[in-house]
Amino acid sequence: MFEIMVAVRYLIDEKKQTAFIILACAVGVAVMVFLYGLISGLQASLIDRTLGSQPHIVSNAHKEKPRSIVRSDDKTTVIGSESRGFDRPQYILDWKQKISSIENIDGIVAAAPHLRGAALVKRGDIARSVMMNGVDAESFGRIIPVKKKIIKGKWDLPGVSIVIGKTLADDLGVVPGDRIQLSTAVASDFFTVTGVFDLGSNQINDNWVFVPLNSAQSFMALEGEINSIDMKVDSIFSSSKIARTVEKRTSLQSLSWMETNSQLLIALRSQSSSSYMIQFFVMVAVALGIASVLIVSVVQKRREIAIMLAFGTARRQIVKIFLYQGAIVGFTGSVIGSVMGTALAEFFRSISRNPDGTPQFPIEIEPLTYMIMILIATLVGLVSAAMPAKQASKVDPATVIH
Amino acid sequence: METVISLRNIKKSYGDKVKTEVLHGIDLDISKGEFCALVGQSGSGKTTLLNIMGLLDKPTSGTIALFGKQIENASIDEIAAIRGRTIGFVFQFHHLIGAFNALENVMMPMMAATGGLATKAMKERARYLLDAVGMSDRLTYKPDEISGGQRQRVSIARALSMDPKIILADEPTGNLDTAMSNEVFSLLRKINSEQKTSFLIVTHDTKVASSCDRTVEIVDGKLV
Repeated sequence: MFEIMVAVRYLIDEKKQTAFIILACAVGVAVMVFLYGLISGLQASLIDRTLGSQPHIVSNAHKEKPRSIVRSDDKTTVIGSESRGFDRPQYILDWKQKISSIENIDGIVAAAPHLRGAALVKRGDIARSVMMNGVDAESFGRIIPVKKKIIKGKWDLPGVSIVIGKTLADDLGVVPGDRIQLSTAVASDFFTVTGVFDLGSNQINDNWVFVPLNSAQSFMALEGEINSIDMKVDSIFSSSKIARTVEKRTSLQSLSWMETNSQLLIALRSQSSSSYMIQFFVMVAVALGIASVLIVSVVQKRREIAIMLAFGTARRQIVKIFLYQGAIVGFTGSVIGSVMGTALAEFFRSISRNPDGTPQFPIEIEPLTYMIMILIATLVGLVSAAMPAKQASKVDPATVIH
Repeated sequence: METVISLRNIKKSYGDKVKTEVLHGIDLDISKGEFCALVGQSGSGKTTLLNIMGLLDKPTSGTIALFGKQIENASIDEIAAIRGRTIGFVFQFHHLIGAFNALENVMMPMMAATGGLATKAMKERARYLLDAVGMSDRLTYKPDEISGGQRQRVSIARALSMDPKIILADEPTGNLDTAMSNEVFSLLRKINSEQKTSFLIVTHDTKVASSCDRTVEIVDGKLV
């Protein structure tokens, strides 16, 4: 405690010097907090947008393997010897058992059946080809929050009903309550529009329609089959790992969003590493600043250090006095810097808004981030005080006093 | 009479290539309660001798004993602790710590020894000592808010805070005017007679030297 007390008093005594170095540290931390908030906010929104219309994991039945048109005992070399064969969709029949076994896997939050097929919607003269998604509204809603993306009507699929995208609704000029005709190669019927969604992607808003699973099955002449099981996990970055477990348990071919969006992940990673680089160099600059001010302070206080040594203060106590000064500067600076960084982020958010008033740059800073920043800055302060502290402990009272 | 500090054949030389011997085999004993003056020309080795006696510097050869115990083999931190407990310093320039007030400056050696904050007992002792040196009305003043003589009194109180057995004073009145210097000198004498603390006072002032119990003179690194 003696050492902390002396450290604090020294810092208070050198008001201007201390204020400058704490400010330097605060500015550094503010940049770090702001940058971190911006990058992680941008990434979170990118991931959010990507996963807004995509399950974390999708399991499909294994597709039939392409068969070779060259028999293995054939000695003849044929160029283009492999045929891709028919890429026939495979269906899952025992999906109820599979879903219940998937739901027991650690990390899985929800699993839902999904049947996709091509269809045509018509209203009056206008016809559009669409992707018909047969789902169970309730369980699918747990995978993709369509309910939150409904802009008109509601997310519900009772009887012969359909939920369509914003662009398609505009094109057809329909609102909830209207009826549109849905046709496939095997069936055709009128469906009542119950809701209109905006999933954030033009292609989806234009192309997707949701119908009850059993309607889709009868429109595709199926008797209870589906073509994929969609899943949501609790930690999105463990999706790949969980997908492997799902594969083992169900022998379904499972792909996580991380595999289907590997380009996005690479972009996110390089964005993160460049942000870490910037933060690292900011901290190096802060460390040099703290170290240089403390070195000056050691020189200024040589006589006082000498007298403290003379009246019995141990050298390790002198070392601690200067280490604590570094740590206190780092800690105080980072607390102030966190406030500044947050204010900066808020300011940035307030000036950069979309025309509709929503923030252009989502900035997300979690309490843990602050704690990590403060911890890092305190450690940086401590480390940068190491050299000045060593210098202080080497003061020779015999030559300094008198 | 009990010997507080005892030097035997102390030699000190400086320089690596060309060695300059400053002290050439000093033998000196200071007894308990002794009030001793150390005089000598500048460059005679007074300060070097004082530093060695104060365990601030190590002799090139020779032995130092405190109350009969030799301290050559003690570690640097042990020496610091021994120094803190047994030796008090008063310098020509006060060397108070600017960030702390008079009371805190007097408590510093006690806090450093315990590694903790000021206790009630420390405060009481510091008050008592500052009262003894006539500074009881300046307890919360910082060094730059009091006069040179007052600073010197605070540093005398600080030297006494650990109840040292010997006080080494290097020109304690050298920076003060005559009136102030008489006052400080009689304060040292008073402490000596009341608490039986030994004193070794380095001085140029023949008047100061003549008022001491014993005068030791150093000439060219030798006691005469």
